[in-house]
Amino acid sequence: MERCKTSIKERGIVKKRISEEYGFRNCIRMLVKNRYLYCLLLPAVIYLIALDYRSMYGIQLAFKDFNARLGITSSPWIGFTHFKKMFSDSYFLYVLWNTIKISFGRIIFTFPFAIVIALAFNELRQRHLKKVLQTIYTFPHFLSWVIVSGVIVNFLGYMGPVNAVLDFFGVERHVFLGDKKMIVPILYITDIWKEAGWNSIIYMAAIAGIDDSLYEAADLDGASRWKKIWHITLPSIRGTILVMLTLKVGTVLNGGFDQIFNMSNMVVQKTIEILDTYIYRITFQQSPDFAYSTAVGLFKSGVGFLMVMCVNKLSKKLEGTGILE
Amino acid sequence: MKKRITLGDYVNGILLVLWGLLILYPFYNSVLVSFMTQEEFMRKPFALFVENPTLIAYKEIFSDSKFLYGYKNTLIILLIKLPISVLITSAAGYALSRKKFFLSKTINNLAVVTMYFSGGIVPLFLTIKSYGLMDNLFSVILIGLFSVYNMILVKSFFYTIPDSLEESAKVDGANDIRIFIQIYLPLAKPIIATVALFEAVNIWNEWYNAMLFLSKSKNWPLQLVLREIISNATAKVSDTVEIDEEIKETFALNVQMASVVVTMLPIMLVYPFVQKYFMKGLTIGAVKG
Amino acid sequence: MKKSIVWMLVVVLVLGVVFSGCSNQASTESGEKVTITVAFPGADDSWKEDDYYKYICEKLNMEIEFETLSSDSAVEKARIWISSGSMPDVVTTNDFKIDEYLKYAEQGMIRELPENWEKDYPNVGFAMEMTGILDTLEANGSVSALVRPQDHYRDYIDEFRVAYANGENLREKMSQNEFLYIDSYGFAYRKDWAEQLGIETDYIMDYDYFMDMLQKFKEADLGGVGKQNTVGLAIDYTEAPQAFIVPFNSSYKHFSKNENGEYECGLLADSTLEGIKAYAEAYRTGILTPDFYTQKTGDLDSLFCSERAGAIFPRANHYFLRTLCSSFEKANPGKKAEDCIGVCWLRSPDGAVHGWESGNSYGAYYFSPELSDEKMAKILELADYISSVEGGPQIRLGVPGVDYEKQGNEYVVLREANADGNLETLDKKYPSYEFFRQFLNPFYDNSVDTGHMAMREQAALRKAKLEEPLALRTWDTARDFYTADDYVTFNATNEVNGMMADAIVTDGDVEAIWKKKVSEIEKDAKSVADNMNKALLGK
Repeated sequence: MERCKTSIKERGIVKKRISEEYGFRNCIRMLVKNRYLYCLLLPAVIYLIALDYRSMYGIQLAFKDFNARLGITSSPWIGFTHFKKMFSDSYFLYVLWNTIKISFGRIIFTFPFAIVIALAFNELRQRHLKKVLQTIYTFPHFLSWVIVSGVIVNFLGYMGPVNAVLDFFGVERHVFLGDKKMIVPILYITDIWKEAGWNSIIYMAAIAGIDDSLYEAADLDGASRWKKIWHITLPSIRGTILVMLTLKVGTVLNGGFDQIFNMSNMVVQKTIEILDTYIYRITFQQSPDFAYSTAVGLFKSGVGFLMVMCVNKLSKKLEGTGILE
Repeated sequence: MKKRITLGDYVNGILLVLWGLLILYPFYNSVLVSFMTQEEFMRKPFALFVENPTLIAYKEIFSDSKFLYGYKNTLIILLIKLPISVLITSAAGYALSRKKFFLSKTINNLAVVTMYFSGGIVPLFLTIKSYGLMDNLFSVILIGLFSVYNMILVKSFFYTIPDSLEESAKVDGANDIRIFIQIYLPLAKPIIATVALFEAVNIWNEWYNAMLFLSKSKNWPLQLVLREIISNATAKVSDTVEIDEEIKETFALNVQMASVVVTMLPIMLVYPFVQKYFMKGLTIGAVKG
Repeated sequence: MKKSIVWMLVVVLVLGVVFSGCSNQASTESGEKVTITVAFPGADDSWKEDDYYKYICEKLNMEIEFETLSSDSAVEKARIWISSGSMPDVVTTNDFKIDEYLKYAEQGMIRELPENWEKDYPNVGFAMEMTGILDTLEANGSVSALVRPQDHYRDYIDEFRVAYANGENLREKMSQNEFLYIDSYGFAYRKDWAEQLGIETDYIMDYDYFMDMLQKFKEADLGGVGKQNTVGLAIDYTEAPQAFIVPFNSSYKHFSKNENGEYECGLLADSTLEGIKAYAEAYRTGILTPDFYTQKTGDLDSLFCSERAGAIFPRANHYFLRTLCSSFEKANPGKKAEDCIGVCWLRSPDGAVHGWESGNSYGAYYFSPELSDEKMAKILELADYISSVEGGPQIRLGVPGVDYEKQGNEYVVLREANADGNLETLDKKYPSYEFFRQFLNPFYDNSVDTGHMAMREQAALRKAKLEEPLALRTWDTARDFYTADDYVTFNATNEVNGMMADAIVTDGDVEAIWKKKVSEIEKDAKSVADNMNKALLGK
């Protein structure tokens, strides 16, 4: 049913476009002319229809009272009840705001690091060192947060090495992970530690794609290294940066469950609570309701998608293109 | 042209090395722990070497009959899924990066929408069931065969390649598929390598879909098997545990660390081959020149 | 659309067949083996190959096809299976939630037990009665799952069996004082250190006396790791309130019934404040590490076994204690756990021993709505065998003639000890043991290892507790199964452990800090309690 609706809508849009942009005969001609491009797209389109859009009808659960026997399509509609439940909970609102704060912090502090690392590697001349370091930088990506948090708890612990060093220099020992002011920066730093190297791969690929002749020309002009980074490298990977930024803002309401769940403790819990950890604690007591969690999911992706559309606008202005057309 | 090594080079190099050490140590520590006994770990969690190295954690992993199946299944999935996935994804990325044609925007946007909105687990479960793919490796192969995320990366890379190449090829009478394969694909080696790496790592780490759709442990991929082994090694916390159950000689942590090593080794072996495509000048220059 | 109609028809048809089939019990005497598909965490095809499985299945003329559930996501998969109407014959869950069960039953996603199941399978009837929640399971008029009973009462199992045959109310009997099941919370401490310091110890010690001992442990640094690195007690934040608040108020955490029989929030009580003060005192005097609330459970055993902590909580439960002893002996070659480790619990300043009457963490077996009567009968037959007087011991002891023998009324274990002097364990010898042992959890002990100190200490501590005047939080299934939205939200929003840990680590007057926290939640707590009283007591 849902699929039916979307296709009707699509057809409406299509009709409008055809008459406005191409006209019917032009349209047929374009179809024929671009038939090979359609061939290239076909497998992806089949995949999207057969899997993603085929299951898309599940979204209606957000507005329904799920009854497993009746199935998703026949369960009774209940309007915005699930959403009302979400927003009548004052703690939910607090957590929502907290999630947004933490996510934006990540975008500001951790996101640029991958770019910096890629640029730094690009400037590194020693080929072998470069290869070895690049490999090492990807390692932590493969450690799960359970393991990383275990190491960090010991590392920063009261009897751990960091405090031992502080003690040695006569500085008072400090419980870093229990400090409400420090925990958020610690989250960001460990996030950078774990993922920045891996995330820089995409920028390195982008840098590898820059036309060498640009640098050669700059060399002839006697441009300094900073100038080359600023005027050639960065503008050349600006598109990639914008794409990654757009993708990143789409996850604004996720906030990093695995990391926070594992690094949190009771003293800082409220400080770094995010939507996912809160929902997790609720479903711990109450059997999870597929309909309610669909509603929460829909809300999260709705907000994410809105953010994507905003950044996409910016991206289109700067680059002439974005992930959405 | 030989370039002078400046102070900036040294600073840059030293910073990168320091950060690398900071990354390496905890990782090195994890590898050590995988060879440690519990006693040693209890006394010295931050050792620089292992006094009494033991392979007990690795034995625990390798002695599980599911482990070999796990490797086998993951390799099968990887060998089938990776090439198809990279091909579909890059073809779609290429097609959508070309100048606009009828429906191209709509398809692009509908694809992006699926990154944010999905029907949920139950509909996906029913969909896979309706295809008769329950308990079949192809369920895991099918899901994620086309990755919108990677498609976007590919697409944005192709944007940076000038249209003039395509136009001149068209003048020579080549069709879009030939242009894509013969001209654009070789130019896009860095991004194809990246996307392939991302996809390979995704496949390598995947366990959730396998958990949902595969109920015979003989079909399980590596990660699901490893999770099971770790969870068995972890002390049970429920009251229903019997006195008659064996006290494990491994402790959860070293099995966990060993599983990290087992997971990472193959990737580390392959990475250098992929890595050369990120090195500047190796690919582009050759083709363009 | 079409699909779901088809599905609905299938379900309706199947249910129709099931209901009509009830009057017409399919005979199980036919020589055909019945094959049942069972989803069980960690199960495997190889489970069908061991002798234990073969013995049981041959006896009952059945075959079990195991579907593997990954242990840490079994609950999630079971949920999806049932909700999408595609479950195998039997699905196991170790996270039994009553609201979920009732929903499934009401929506017909799981099969009901056949009529007269209690009479036809008396041992199953008895086992289910021993869950103590049968009336709740029957809320919809019929029972739709097999629920694992409490195994706390295995020492009195014969008495309960007689009582069941006489038609007595078992639930009432369980809460009689002589059968009372008290929690196994307790400290494990360094007995040898206490001896060295000339401190007398017992299973029950006065609160102040014990804290004083921990303080002395810390000062004395008998492990020789430096005073700076020694703590009195290794504990994590989730357990700390059990150790410090329970001695003052057993029902600090939950909404529990007060003297008037009405629910109220334990956080608001004055006695909870007393506990908070004691907790803060322990933190400030260094009995706890300054960062105890960041430590993970695995770190605690390390602290204790590397002689950096004088005591650890909670380790009086036999399994934890056994694990602890084994780690301790490995980490300290030459020291015997028996000589070094003791367990104890505290006598509170008010003279009573506080604690909980233990409930159960239930597990359940759900049956597919499409399951045939024949298969259902076979499953019940298996359940009946496992919970019977003859079957129970067999399940616990292995294959008769190979692993044990019945001599007169005694069971004699025939398994041989391995090089370490321990018996080869059944779960290792027979992988399928795991499934049958848990299925309806028969009450018979396989106490081959009652000689282990962990078992003895746990029993001794429990006995010592029961001899003292008790102040217990009673077992209240109505509350345990209460899942109203406001109650759940209140608990999730005001994480008790967090509130307490936060209050005691914050600088300043702990009484004022706690009172401020409590005043912030007072209004919500009262409204939740009011709603509970309305819903559960009709007030």
